[in-house]
Amino acid sequence: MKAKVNNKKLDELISATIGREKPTFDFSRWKQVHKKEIEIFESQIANREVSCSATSTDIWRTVLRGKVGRIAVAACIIIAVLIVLRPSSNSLDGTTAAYAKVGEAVKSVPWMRISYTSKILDLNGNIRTENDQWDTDIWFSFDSQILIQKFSFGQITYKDYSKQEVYNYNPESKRIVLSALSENKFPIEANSPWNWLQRNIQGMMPFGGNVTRKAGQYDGKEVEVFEIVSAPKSGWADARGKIFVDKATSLPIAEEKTYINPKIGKPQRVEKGTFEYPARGPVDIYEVGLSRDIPTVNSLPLPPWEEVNRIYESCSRTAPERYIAIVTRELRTTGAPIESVEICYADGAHSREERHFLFQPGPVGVQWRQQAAEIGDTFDSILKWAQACKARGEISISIYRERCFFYNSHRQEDGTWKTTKREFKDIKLTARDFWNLCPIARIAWPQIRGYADVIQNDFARENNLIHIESQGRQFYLNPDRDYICQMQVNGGTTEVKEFAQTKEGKWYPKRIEGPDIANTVYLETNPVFPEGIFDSNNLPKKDGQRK
Amino acid sequence: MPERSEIHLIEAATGGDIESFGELCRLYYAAMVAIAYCILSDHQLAEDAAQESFARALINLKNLKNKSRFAPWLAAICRNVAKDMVVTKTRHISTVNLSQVAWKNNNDENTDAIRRAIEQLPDAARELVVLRYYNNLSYEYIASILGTSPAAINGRLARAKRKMADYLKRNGFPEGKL
Repeated sequence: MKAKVNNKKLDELISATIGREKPTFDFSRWKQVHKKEIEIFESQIANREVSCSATSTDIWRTVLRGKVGRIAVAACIIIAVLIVLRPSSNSLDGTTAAYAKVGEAVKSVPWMRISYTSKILDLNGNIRTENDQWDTDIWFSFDSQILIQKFSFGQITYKDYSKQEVYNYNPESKRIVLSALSENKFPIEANSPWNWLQRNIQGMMPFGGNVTRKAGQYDGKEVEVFEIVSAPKSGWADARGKIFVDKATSLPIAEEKTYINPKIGKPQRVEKGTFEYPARGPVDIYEVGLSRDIPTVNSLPLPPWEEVNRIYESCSRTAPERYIAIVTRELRTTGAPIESVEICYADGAHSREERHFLFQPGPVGVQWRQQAAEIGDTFDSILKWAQACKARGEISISIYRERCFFYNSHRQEDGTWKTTKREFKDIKLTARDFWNLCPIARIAWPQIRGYADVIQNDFARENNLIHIESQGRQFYLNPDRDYICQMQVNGGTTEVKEFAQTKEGKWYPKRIEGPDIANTVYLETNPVFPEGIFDSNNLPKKDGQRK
Repeated sequence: MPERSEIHLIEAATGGDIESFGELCRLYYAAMVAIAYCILSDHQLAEDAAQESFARALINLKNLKNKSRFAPWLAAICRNVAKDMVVTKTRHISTVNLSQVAWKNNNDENTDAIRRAIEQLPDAARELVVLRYYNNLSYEYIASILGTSPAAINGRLARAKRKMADYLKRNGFPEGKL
C-alpha cells in the first residue's frame, strides 16, 4: 500500500532537513583563483580567431595574451624593433646601416623605460572586457643590472642581478617578499642588449618580412619611420608595425603594432608603446609606486614562489612509467577502517583506474568491521580483494588506452555492469597524464593556485620545510622529499605522517592524516601486471566475475 | 530551453566574453552547488565543486556543440567534478555516510529519517529532490538545468516524494507527521 503524502508537510520536512539559503557567487574572486583557466580560455579564443596552430613560441608573430606573454612581448619589443629592420635573410651579417645605428644608440643608454598599452579587440573592433586592455611598465638598467616589471593588475617585480635578489609585490597579500634570484644572468647580459638581441633573433623572424624606411614626424619630433610588414604565413596573424626613431639621437621613441586576423582582415590586437631613456630609474621597489608602509618580508636565501613552483610542479609531474598504486581512504569521524579504495595500474601506454566504495546506504554497523577483515592491510590482500570486486558499494573501472576511454558505470542492482565507451579523437594520454590521474599525485602535490608567497616561519625552519602562503592556505613543502607537501593547513591540518620511496628513488607519502580523512598509499613500481588488466574485453560483466 | 537573454550570454561567452561567462556562473551557481551537494553532502565542498566545474567548463567551452544545452552540459561537468572530489578531496563524506554524519551532527529524529529517505532514492530522483529543496529552486529553473520540461519535473518530483513517504512509513516514521 502506498503511503499518503501530504505534500505540504513533507515539503516542510525536506526543506527543514536540507534547505539552505541560496549561495552567492563572487565572480571577481573566482577570476582571481582561476587565472590559469582564464588564460587558457583567452588563448583558445585568440588562437581560434586566427586559426593559429599555437605551437611556436615566436614572440613577434604569435598573439600572446597571457600575462607572462605580455611581459615577454613588452620586454622584447625593443629587440623586435631592431630585428624587423633586418632584411628577410636569416643572417645577422646583412644588417643595414640604420639598424646598426639604432643598435649602437640603445647600447649606450643607462636606463630604458618601456610603457605599453595593449588591447584585444573583438570582431567588431571593440574591447570585450576590462581585462582586454592592460598596461605594462618595464625598466631596464644595463649598467646596474636591474630589471623592473610593473603590471596593471598589481604585481611588481624588482630584480637586482648584481645582488642576485628579487623583490616581489603580491597585490593579494599586499606585501613584498625579498627572495634570492637564482637566474644567473641578466636577461640583457653584460651591459648591453646586444648579445641578448643576437641570441633572440634566430627564433624571432622565421618567416621574414619587409621593412621600408621614410622620414616623418612623431610628437613634434623629426623621426625616421620604419614600417614593418611580416611575410604571410598560414595560421598566423599578419603583423604590421611602425617604429619611430628620433633622428637626433637614433633612439626609438615609439612603436605601434597591429596584429591582423588574415581571415577577416581586421585587427585583433593593437599595441602602442613609448620609450624613454631617463638618467636614473627607481632605486627600490617602493619607488615603482608602492607605499613605504607596505611591509617587506625577508625570505632569503630562498628563491621566489615562481621558482619554487617550477620545481614543485616538476616533481609532481615526474612520474614512474609502470606501477600499481593503491590509495585507501578512512573516514576518521566515523571510526571506519576503510571507506573506499582507489587503484591505478599504469604501464606507460595504458592506465586503469578503479574506485571501490565499500558501503551501500543503510545502517552503519557490523558490515564495516566485516569488510575491514576482508580487505586486509597489505598491498597483496587489497589487490586480491579488489580483483574479486567484493566492495558492497559502487565500483567503477576506467581503462584509458591509446585514444579510447572505456568506462564502467555504477554496478547495477542485479550485479551486471553497464559499460560505455567514449573516444577522444584529439587527445592522446601519456604516462604523465596517467600519473596526474593517480590520487598519489594529487595528495602529495596539491595544486597551489594564484598568487603565493614563500614565507618562512619557525616551524618551517626547524623542520627544513618551505612554507608557502596562498589565499589563506598554508603549505609546507619538503625539499628533501621531492617537494612533497608535507603539511597543509586550511581550517584543519592535513599532514604526511610517513614517507616511503620507490625502488627507483622517488618519494611518495605513505600515510596522510587530515581532520576527517586518512589515506594510506601502497605503490609498487615495475610490477608484474595481472593478465589482461588493460584489456577492455576483460572488464567485469557480472558481480564478482570477469568475462 | 534557456531564455533569450541566456542564449545571448552563452553566445557571448563562447565568443570569448568572460563577463558573460561570469553571468552564466551567477545564474547557475545555486543549482550547481545543489547538484554537487547531492554527491558530496558537504556545503563547503559543494561550493568548491561548483566553482571548479565553472573552471572546467570555461576551458572546455569550445567543445560545447549545442548552445541550448549549456546548463545540462554544465550540470554534467559539475557531477563529474563532485564525483572526483568524493575520492580525491579530504573532508569529504560520501553520500553513503550521509546518515552517519547527520547522526553525529544532529540528533533530531525527523532530520535523520528524512535524510535516510532521501539517500535511498535513485541518483536522479535524489538529485531532483536536492535541487528542489536545497535552495528552493523553481520547477522552471530545474527543468532548464536538467534539460527537460517543468511538467516532467513535477511528475518526477511527485514520484520521488511518494517513494520517500513509503520508505518513511516502512521505517516507522509517524504517519501523523507526513
